[in-house]
Amino acid sequence: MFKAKTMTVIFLVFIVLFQVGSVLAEPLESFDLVHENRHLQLYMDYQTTEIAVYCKETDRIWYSNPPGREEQETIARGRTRDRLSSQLQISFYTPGDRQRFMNNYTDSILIDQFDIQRLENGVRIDYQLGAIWQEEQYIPIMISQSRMEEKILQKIEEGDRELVSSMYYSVKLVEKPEDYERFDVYGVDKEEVFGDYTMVTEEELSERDRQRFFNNLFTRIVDNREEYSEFEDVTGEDIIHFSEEQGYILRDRLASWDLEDLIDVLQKAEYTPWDVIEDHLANNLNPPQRSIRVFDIPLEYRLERDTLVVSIPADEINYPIDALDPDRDGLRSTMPLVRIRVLENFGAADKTEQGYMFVPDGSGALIYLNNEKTGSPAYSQDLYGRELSSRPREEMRSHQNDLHLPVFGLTNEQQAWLAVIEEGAAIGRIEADISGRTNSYNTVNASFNTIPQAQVSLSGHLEDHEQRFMNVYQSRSYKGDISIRYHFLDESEADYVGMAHTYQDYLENRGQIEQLEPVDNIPFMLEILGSIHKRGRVLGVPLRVVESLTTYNQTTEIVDQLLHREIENIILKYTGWFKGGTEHNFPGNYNLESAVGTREELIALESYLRNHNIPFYPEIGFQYLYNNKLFDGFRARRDGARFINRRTAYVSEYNMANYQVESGDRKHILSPGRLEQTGEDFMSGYESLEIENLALRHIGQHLNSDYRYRTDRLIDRPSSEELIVEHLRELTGSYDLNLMLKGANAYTLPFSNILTDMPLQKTPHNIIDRGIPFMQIVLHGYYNYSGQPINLTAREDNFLKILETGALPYFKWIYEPSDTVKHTPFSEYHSLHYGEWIENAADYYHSLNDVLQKVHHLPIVEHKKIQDNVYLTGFQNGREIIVNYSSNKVEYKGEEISAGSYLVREGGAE
Amino acid sequence: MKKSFYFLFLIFFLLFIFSLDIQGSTLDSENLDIPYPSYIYDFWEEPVSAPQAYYPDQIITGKDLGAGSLSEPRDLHISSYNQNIYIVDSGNNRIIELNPDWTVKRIIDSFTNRGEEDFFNNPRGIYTNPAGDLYITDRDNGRIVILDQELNLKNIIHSPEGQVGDVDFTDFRFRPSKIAVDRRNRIFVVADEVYEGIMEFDIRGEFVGFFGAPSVTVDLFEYIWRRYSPQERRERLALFLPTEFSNLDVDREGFVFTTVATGTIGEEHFIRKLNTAGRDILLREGFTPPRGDYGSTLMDAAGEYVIPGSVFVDITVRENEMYSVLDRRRGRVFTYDRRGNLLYVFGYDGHLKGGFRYPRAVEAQGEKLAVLDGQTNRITVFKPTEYARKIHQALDYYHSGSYQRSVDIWREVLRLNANYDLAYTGIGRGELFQDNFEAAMNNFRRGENRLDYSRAFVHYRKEVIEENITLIGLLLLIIAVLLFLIIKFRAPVLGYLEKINQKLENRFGNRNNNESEKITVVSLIYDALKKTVDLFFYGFQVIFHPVGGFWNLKHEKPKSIAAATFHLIIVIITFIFMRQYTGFIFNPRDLTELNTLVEIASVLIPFFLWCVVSWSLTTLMEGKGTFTEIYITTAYSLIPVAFINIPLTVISNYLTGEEHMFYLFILVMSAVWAFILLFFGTLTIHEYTATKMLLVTGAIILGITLTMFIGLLFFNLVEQVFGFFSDIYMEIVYRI
Repeated sequence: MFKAKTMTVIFLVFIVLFQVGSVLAEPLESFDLVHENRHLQLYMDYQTTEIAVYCKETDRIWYSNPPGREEQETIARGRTRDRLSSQLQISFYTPGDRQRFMNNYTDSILIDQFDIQRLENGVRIDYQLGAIWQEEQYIPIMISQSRMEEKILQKIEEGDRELVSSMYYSVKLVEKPEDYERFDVYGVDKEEVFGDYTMVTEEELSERDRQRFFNNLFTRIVDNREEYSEFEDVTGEDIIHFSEEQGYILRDRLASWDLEDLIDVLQKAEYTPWDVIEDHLANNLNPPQRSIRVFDIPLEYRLERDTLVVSIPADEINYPIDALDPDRDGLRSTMPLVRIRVLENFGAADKTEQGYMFVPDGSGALIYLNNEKTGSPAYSQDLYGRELSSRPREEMRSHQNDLHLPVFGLTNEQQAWLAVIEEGAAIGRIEADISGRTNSYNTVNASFNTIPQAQVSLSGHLEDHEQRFMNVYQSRSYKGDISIRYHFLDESEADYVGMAHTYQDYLENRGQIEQLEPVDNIPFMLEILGSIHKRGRVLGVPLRVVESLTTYNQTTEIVDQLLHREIENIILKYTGWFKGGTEHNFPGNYNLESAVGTREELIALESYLRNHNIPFYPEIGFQYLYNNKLFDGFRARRDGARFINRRTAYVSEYNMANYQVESGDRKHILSPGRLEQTGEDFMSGYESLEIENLALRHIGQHLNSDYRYRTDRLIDRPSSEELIVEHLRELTGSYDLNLMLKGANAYTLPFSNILTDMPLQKTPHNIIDRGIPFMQIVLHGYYNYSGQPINLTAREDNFLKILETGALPYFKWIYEPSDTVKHTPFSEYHSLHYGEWIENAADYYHSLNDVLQKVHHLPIVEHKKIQDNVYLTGFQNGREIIVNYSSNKVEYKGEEISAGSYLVREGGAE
Repeated sequence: MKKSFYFLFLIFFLLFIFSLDIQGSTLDSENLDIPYPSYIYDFWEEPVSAPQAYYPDQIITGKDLGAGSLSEPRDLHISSYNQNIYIVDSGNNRIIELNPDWTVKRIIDSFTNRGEEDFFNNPRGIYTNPAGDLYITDRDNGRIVILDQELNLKNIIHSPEGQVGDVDFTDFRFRPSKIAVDRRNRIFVVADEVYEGIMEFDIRGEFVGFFGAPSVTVDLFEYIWRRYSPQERRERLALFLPTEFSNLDVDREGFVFTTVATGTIGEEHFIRKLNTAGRDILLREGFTPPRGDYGSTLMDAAGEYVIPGSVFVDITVRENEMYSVLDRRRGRVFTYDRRGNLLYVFGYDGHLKGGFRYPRAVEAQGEKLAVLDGQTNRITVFKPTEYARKIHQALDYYHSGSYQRSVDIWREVLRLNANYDLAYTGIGRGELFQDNFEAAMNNFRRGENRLDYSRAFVHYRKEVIEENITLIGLLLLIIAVLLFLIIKFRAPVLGYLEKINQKLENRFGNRNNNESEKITVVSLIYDALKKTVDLFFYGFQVIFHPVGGFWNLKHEKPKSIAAATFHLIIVIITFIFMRQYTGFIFNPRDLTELNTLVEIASVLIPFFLWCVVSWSLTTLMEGKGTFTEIYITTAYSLIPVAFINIPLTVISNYLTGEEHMFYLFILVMSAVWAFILLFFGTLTIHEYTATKMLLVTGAIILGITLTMFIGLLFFNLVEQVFGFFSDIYMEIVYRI
């Protein structure tokens, strides 16, 4: 019995090995199996540290570096070509603020500076990037005969021995013969140096060559003695040891290829710069000094179930900090390692493949493989939005980037992989490029900003007009881990829908999302803007006054009108109830705004809404301080975040036309470290209202650091993320609040199931070919979500877009006429009056409800492009919605859809 | 079981929902994501957010056309003859002709010239006349090639030679760049390094002359300068301002629209509309003349504007006499209506969809706009959104005289953008048309349109007066009677007042006589009031009888600094009051932006400058007055400003724009009065003769100018020194 079992196992293993062998024999010949589990096999080439993952279910191998790149690569040369063979790329700054790049192929593998270690379920490689020794530092200038014999000549072959000998003078210091006639070497008193001795070479030298020989001798000594600058500095002490033992001196005028050969030979003899040090010291020469430009980076590969996890324990990264720099005459240098790009070429697609790369831009976007858009810049966007504490200015100049989910992937239509950044997403950036620009491959990958950096002008402002800039850096490097999990998808799910479902499963398995209950009617999302501030006249003197746009009682009236139009499932957000209006005072100092009504009226509104089963979400923004007052508990120096230039951080208003900072209103950024305290202070007052809901502004979208100089008080982006998560956990846990968020970035997803202002489309990067509702496919059926307020977006295709993405209608209204906000800081809200929209909204809602009500709680199982501007969304119960954005009518399965219209079909999915 | 049903919403349903016109518009979802903010300028030249007017619909490259990559394309033109599109692909020495649907029709890279094949060398511009003939500027060949639709050569225009009229063309290198042709086949050419204006050629290709350079407007200083400058210089100066035109277009009526890149002309002339005589007839009735983005007037050390304004590279005339201009500086297209009102702005300088690196040409294809980028070698076709289409429609109705319909559309525009000043004006005009003067006024006020507001106000005031004619009559009658009574019974009234005064004094005051009398609050108030009234009366006495008044001030009355300060404060308050409460028509300032400190400084700085400089100089020039006296005199001299301006501010709320002369007259009067007082006051206290006083006044004014100049220099120096030390500090902080 036992034996039989063992036999079976052996047999099975044999079969597997045999099969694998037959499948993999060709492409994996230089690879060795490192680890294997039920789903995957991890292979590695120990020479080049390339890895390959064999996926048993799909019978496909994914490589860390494109196989066959030697033949297929036609564009890249030199270092760029080497990059294709690399797994890591780094960028760092030299003391002169010059940015430099390295990759682990050129700067580590080729010079054999790495170390491989087996892990329990994978492998770890410790790379040392940057040559410790310069090439010429392998060559001893002088060496004694015995050491030459022992360390070099004995270890090499005959031919090489000749080569070595031919490159050295073999010399000895002998007593000068009587009739010896010295000849002059310019600048040297030879009597004083040699005294009674003279130096002779083993071979006979002609007059001219002797001249050359002595010149070389002195040159070598002066060049290798730091304190010497000319020949006359040389003394007898420097050469006296040659009288004891014969030695070798490197010849001059050696061809560079000869030197290369010599280095090769020395390496073969395993004669290292460490030996050079010894020999130079013995010969009174300065020993070679190792370069400080060396970066230690570990990289780990692990197999976990059906995924590959690639990680870098970032606290084990070393970069030169205050190191004595031989290149700068012994000054101390720091070379901040600002960015690491991980597995740039993993699963790269070559020029012949079809398919696309997926990037989480906006709602999701596709870049078609080989789309030939080399005239457009490559895709490179930071996750979780821009960091306001380091680059405030860019905010205005270019489009808001909007990457909420830390995922990316690639499919060639038969196979696909999806990567999820598990650790370090907050400093992550998604980068993608097509073939034809730097090389012949399409690549999508992530890089990590381990030390945020910014330029400051010497006037101390960030990104000033002045010409004199210098870099400032975060005071320490990121200490957490960087970790990316690769999922491998088979043919049936090798598209973006499959990727979305993979990510959905991933989130669900971790308990981060939960499915919704079925509803009778879809929710109607409504935001009421209660009050704003503006400059009003008080006795002819303008002051910040708060003006009511919708009082509590007027809110009741608006809700009444909606109920009257049979819109019942309303979710109401109310902004501008806190003291100070929409841009309110410090929330840590709890206070109600009196312009919109009394506390009793607020409670009355709440109970009115409760009676109609309308959840009421008062909105508050914790992350910014709009209106700093004296004695409100907020002290900018203590509670405000710091810019990377260590000044108190704030967000300014920008002139839309010329991008200049507008004087006046600017808001402080609250340090993420103060979030918890502020939240507690706020809740101590808010609890008395007994409202169990709260809407949070920005927290789903903005992730700011606090760049304090003291490393113990520094809050880098990943720590900020942790603090936000902690803050949200507190609000939903200890205070049992239901939250409504904006956005929302992946780490906030577990804390709410109502999201507004979610991107419904991609952003307009030229390199992107198509936008997809990736985020919606992941979240539909799990979340109530909406795009931007319909009345403010002026998009004519809103209705179709909402149908396509399964979003909810969302309006932002006020009771007063729209022009109340004209010439106030809120003039961007140019269309707010509810009366102008309520009829449209009702039609809008009912039409949407008819289509979406039955599928509101169901996942999207299909989404595809039927033709240009015509898209299909399929839900779990088989309902399909086909939207036609084009200006022509189209036909789908025999049914006609007119321009700008849509079609609903049942039973499509099976 | 496959149950399917329709939810087929027809166009009119969407029309109902969005009230939009779908005909001919794509709702392509891929294209409505726009990477730049949309804005429009308000009355105070501040950008305010606006809905997006245009969205990038299509991006077309040479590859997309199947014509190979473009190389430095320079011009884009859409023919009025057959709507075909022409791209001047300068780097490839060819013209690409496209059908209106953006498919290639043909590539024109050669033509037959006297039986031989001839080629272009760096063509820069193209234009078609109504007959479809192509006018191509063949720059490096120094000629203009005219081809017909079959590409037969019709004419070649070469450089004018020798002396033509008063222009000398020897040594002239003809490098034509941009071109336009009017209905009568007059040819207008912008040539490189020609600063005399646009070159005009007649139908046969003969050079007619230069056209359209703005002539010099002479101010007094320039007049004097020229009067005494050498003869030749005078002649050269007299003709024109050297101007480098960047582009041009001709509208249906034959007016030439031009953009100016550089030249010594004001930025309000960057866009010009020239009639056949070359005179600029562009309407500039918007808040400011059309000039794209406003720049700052401040220059940095390198002589660059700190915030540069727009640099126009192309202009295209559109339906309803709208025109769009292309700004190279920030990659934006600005569109104006025929009156010069800014309608909308779109585009930006960037690499995302809808952005440009080096835009070179803009052309209208119906409501669409195409922009050619000479660096990325592609064309972006923009389509109007519902918002822009509505604006177009409203203008269209207004032009065709359907005012009421245009009002309806303007209301819909407002629904989308409550910040749109032009819509308020549009509605206001509609209301005015229907005699709803008050509503019209409200709209004009919201739209910051003071001119039309005044027009409506004329009617409104008349209406109110007519309605309340009896009441007003009655009021006037009462006032007249009161005045009569006052004059008639002046003496008894004054006597009575005196009696009351006496009584009060007996009761509260006169502490000098009776020290044991209690000082009560009432008595204090009474004292203060009395003092104030006294001050006023004394002030009036001074301003109506300056010579005697100031003499008294110097010799009799105790020298009261407090009284003078009191008057000075009143003057400051007057200025703040005027700034905030002058009638809408006369008050272009932003009432929500008041900086009290600035207002105070704007009175105090000139005031003390005068005092100090005057004191310094008069001390040197045997003046007998002390600084205190100068201070008091100057303060008293300003009383008329307060005395006149407060009632004027009130009255200004009831004046119309046409009565601005009246307003201005009174304003000037108060200033003149104040100056006369200052003159006589200073004269009196220093005991100068009138002639000497004139001399002194001149010296003081000169002195003030000098002081200001030195002050500015000093501030500049301090700033630089401060900057130097702060730089050092920063470097230390960051490096260590």
